[in-house]
Amino acid sequence: MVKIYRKIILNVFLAWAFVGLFGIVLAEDSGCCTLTSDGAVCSSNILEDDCDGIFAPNLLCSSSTICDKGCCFDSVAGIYDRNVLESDCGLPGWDSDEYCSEDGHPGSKEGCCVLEDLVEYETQGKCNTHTVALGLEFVDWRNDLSFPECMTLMHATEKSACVLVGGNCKMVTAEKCLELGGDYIFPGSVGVLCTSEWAHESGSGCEMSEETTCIEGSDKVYFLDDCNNIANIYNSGKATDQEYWNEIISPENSCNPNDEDGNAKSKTCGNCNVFEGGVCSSKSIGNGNPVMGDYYCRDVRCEFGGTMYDNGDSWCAYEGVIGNGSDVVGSRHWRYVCNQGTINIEPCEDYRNEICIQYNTEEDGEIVQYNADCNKNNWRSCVAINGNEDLTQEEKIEGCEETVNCDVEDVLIGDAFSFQVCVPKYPGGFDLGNNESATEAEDLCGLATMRCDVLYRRDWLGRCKISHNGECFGSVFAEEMNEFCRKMGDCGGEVNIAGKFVKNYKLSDNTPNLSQAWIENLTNLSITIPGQYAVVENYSEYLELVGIGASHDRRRDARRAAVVAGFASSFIGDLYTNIASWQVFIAAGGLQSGSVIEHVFGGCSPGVVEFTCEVWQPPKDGEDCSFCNADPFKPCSKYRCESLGTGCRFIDDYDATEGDYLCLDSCASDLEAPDIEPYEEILTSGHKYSNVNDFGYKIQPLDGGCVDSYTSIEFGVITDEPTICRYSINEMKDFENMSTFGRNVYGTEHSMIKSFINPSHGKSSGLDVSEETEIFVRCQDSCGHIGPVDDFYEISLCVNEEDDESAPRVVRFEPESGSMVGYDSESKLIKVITNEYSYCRWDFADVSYSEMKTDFFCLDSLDHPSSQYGYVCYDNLPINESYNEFWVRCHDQPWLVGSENENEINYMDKGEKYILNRIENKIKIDWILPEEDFEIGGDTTTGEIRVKTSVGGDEHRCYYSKGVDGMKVPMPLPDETNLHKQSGFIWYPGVWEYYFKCFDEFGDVAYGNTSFEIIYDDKVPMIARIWQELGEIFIITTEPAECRYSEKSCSFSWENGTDMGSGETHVIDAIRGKKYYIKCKDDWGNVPSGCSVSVVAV
Amino acid sequence: MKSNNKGQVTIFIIVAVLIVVGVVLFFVLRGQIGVERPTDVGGREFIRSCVSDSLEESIGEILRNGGRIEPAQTISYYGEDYNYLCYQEDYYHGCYNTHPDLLGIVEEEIFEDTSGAVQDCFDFLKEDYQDKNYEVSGGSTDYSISLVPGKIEVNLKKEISVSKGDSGQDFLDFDFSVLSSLYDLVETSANIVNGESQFCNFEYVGYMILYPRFDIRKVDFEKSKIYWVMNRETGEEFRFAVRSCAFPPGI
Repeated sequence: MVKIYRKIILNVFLAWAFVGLFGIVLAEDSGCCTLTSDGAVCSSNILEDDCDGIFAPNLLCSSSTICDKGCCFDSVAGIYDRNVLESDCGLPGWDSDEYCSEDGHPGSKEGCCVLEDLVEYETQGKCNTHTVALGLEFVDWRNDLSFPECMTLMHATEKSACVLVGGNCKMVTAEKCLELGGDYIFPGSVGVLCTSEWAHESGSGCEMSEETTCIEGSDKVYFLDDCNNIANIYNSGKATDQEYWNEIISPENSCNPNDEDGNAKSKTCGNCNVFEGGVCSSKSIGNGNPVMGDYYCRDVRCEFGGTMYDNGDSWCAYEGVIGNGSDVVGSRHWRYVCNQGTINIEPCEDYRNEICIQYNTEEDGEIVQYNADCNKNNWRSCVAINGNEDLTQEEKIEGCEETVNCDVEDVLIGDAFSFQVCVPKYPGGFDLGNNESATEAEDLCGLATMRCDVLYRRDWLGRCKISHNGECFGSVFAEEMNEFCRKMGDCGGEVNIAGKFVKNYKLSDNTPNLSQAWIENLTNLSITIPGQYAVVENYSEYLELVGIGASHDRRRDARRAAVVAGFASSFIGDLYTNIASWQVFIAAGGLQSGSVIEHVFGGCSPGVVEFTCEVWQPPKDGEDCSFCNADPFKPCSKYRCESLGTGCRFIDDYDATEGDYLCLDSCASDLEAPDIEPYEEILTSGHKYSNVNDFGYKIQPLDGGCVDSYTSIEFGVITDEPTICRYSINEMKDFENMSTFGRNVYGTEHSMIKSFINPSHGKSSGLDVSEETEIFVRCQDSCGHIGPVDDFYEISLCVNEEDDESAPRVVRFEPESGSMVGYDSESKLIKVITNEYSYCRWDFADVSYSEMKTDFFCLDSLDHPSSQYGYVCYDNLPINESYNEFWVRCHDQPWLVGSENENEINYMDKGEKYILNRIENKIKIDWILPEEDFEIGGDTTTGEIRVKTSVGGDEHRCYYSKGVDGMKVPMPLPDETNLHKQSGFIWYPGVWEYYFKCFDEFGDVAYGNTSFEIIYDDKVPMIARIWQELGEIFIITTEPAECRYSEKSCSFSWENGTDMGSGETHVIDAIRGKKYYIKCKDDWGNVPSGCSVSVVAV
Repeated sequence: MKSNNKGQVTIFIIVAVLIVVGVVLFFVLRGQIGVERPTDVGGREFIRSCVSDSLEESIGEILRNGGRIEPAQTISYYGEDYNYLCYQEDYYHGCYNTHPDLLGIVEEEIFEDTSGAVQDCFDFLKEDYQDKNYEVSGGSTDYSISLVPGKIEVNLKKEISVSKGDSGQDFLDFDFSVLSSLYDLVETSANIVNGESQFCNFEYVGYMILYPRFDIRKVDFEKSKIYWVMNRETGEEFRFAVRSCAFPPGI
């Protein structure tokens, strides 16, 4: 029997992950509510009485149509609001196009609205409103201009002096001047000023002045004439130069056009350039000192840390070393923005749920622009990869290397205890004050709790010699395991932002702890490395997946860039929903099971070295709380504050005027150690606490005496304030060296489940097991006070020492009997947990133990049960049928096998039945949309992919990728019909292919793909046929279009045309001899500048 | 010693009398100086001033409360409440835009908040004229608010006839406008909300470069984002919160 020995830590998180993601159970009578009495929108699990909005009973909001988002619009006013509930929409229109796409809502297309001096990039409807509001006569909305092109039109309208009756003069357009009845002066190719010689000749009384001003939409300082007209750019040397006051002079021909500081702080020149560093501003802001006037080019650059940043630059700041799992507890990433001379502090999301990435633009080796962004931290995906049962070990490593923000961690300790895991580059933080988060933190850190079995072999002299994993006895074990542990999150031995190291791990006795030098290295992680920043990882594949390809040079378009950056953030965020299962994958060296048997049974017991990775807890005091308040560029937050000490309390109603601090030491007023009492409610039935006093109690059966061996008993203590409790058995230890009693998070209720070895077994197995057991307990509060003071709380009990005549009992199967397995499953790894240390076997029939053919792997030892429920054995059971029945039998006292007392071994006289059912139907993909080519009217469109799956298990998930072997990206959770929708794709014309992989909770997989072409329709509709029949002219267009006609000329405006109807056939009631000028516009707005056709009725 | 005491008592009495006289004068003069009377300043000017006062208060509330007079759902940040304009309770998902047509909402809120005050202004106008023995008759009030770029237009129509003997005056149109950048601030905020709801993000730095008149600040707080949108020229600041694509701490 040769099997590959693979040490796998099965973890409890498998169950948790599915409950967390899929197994949301609605309380009876609850449902989805669009508006709760607390004001929350679309909350699930709400009672009808607590709902002020629409209520859908027994439904999750994600499954209910009442919470569908849509587009709320008023096409006349040009208002298109996205992601609105239908019930919230007060506008005339609402439909399910949640992003108000231009395809579905052509009116949502933005264009350039020219409003005399101003331009706005907005919808046509808004432009109409704007124009009317400003009292302008004509709507000038240009849909063919991009945003940057539109911005260049600001103040570009052709103005010149308009001399009015009485010598007044205004700078206006020719049309406006006509309207005012003035004399428009435009002698050359450019406009002239009211102070010009030509204007004066026409009677203008306006003269030069030293007054200056800023104007909306411009960064420059302008002279004003004494009629308050805007003249040329301020140049103190030209204040009285008549030539400078004649014609309008462009900025390029004004003072210092190429000044590298954008004329910032210049006293003489107002040709500010906001992109270089200067912007028009009142001299009262920033101590300006212009030679004349009240305005100057204010310096909008920012100096920080010795670097000068331009306006709009953004950069990252950190609190210690970042990346490679180095981010210290409490640390946060910060983005700073230079905002017109002041530094905006923009903290990235706390708990390192966002990281600050920086990318500098260089020209000729010099940085010309700093860009930083807070991006979602992908750390959850890294951890999730480890538990993806669909992937082989190699695929996991490959997937980890390809996934952003993830690193492959090599844990190299022993020859048979070395492995690779996928860990986050920037581990996330935990909110331990939140019970749910604290529980999850324990689970996550627990992944790095591991046991190394040091194996021995007898040499030819019969001595036990280490054969494998001897390194686990060395210092490398703690070092490597702590690296693994702390890279999972705020776990293990780590430092906080103040550089305080706290050891939150446990090691087996006599195993070397982290050395002082190692701890110093960890401490140094709290010191920021100048110039270090998180770089943009290769997001291209993510971006390409949603149609944001590098081949499209849209980076010049600031708005587009903004969209991309934002979308990337959100998109990456979607990955986090993909935690499907958890399982650390550890390939342990290739030991074969035969050799394990040899090592275990050869008479040399394995040495066990354990590393317990615990949730990181702060220093037990409040000494460093003020650290959080010290740096004005790093405002305090709850996470940062609480990382500094268990006594630090974050005060969020900070009032600077009263001098309060944000992070306060609450331990100053807490001088008491916690009191401990028995936890009555938790005690396992059939038992009682007796001899209860201030310093302990005794556990006894209800009828007194001693407890039975190998019986799981749950017991505990309660403290009068939140504490962490620890215990040691039969030995008084320092608090630091005691084991955790219950959870390693602060709470008042502490309990544990424990069974006790039969003392006779201790003797027969060579262990010193006493009949009397003392459990010494101490509890520490958040200020470091330990109770009982200078003493222990003693929980005592005695265990019945009697001949063991009972066979072991199977107390638990994991997964439980009757569970379903996948359609394609060939085997299933299961755990058998027994009440006492046992060996177990399985077979397809309930035969005697000796007749059973297959051994389970039972690697626990008498004093080391690996489950709180008992001793664990495991094996892969084959799946051959839809109904698979197995029988399990065990025997106790395995150390007696082959000894003279072998007859004392107790065998189960009846097998324990275990059933695994294969699912009847395999998950399948029913359809994928889009599947057909379609046309769009612009250069991009947004869209949604839908995948419908059916049968298989209850919980379906789908991934998609752009290539067959591309990166697989999870789609959001499906609705109750297993319809998976991924929206937010930005597509441009071309062929798009997507591949899909959908699986259910049993690991069955269905594959599918779709391919479609997006065709860019930029052609105006053509006239295919035209004829006259009786009194009507008929026109057929080559595509669906809307046609209008005019009887005047080809250049009629669309709005003034007479409607001919929409579709492909269009009709005019014609009058003989009349000429009709016809224009047709397709669904994408393509319309000829002239006529589509002109026709004379005959 | 005794004469010293007497002197002190006298001084106290004088001081007390001065204080009482001062207080009386303060209230008398304040009444005369502080309250404009319609008959003094003219009916139209009075209504403009009276309505403007309540309008300004209302605008202040709107700016503080993210478009609402009484915010429905808020987050407290350093002791101040911020109205959610976009909210998603669940983790990972984009927010629901709970204030579509924000401009319309703001106009409606201001209208609702000031309607009573507008009526009070007309009532006061009427009373004041009647006190001066004028005969006053009036029709119904037609009142609405429009936010337009750079100002808030108050559309106020009411037929009022004031007469005394043979002389009289008719009022109809009380329209006026108040300079305010509220339109701009609301439109920008609506853009932010639309961006946050779709992309979980709004690139406000780029927006400020393109529109330098805005000073936009953002802070992430308790899984929400708080935005302050300020017009640098007017100093008016519109503030609100969104909760979009929130992430849980830990897993």
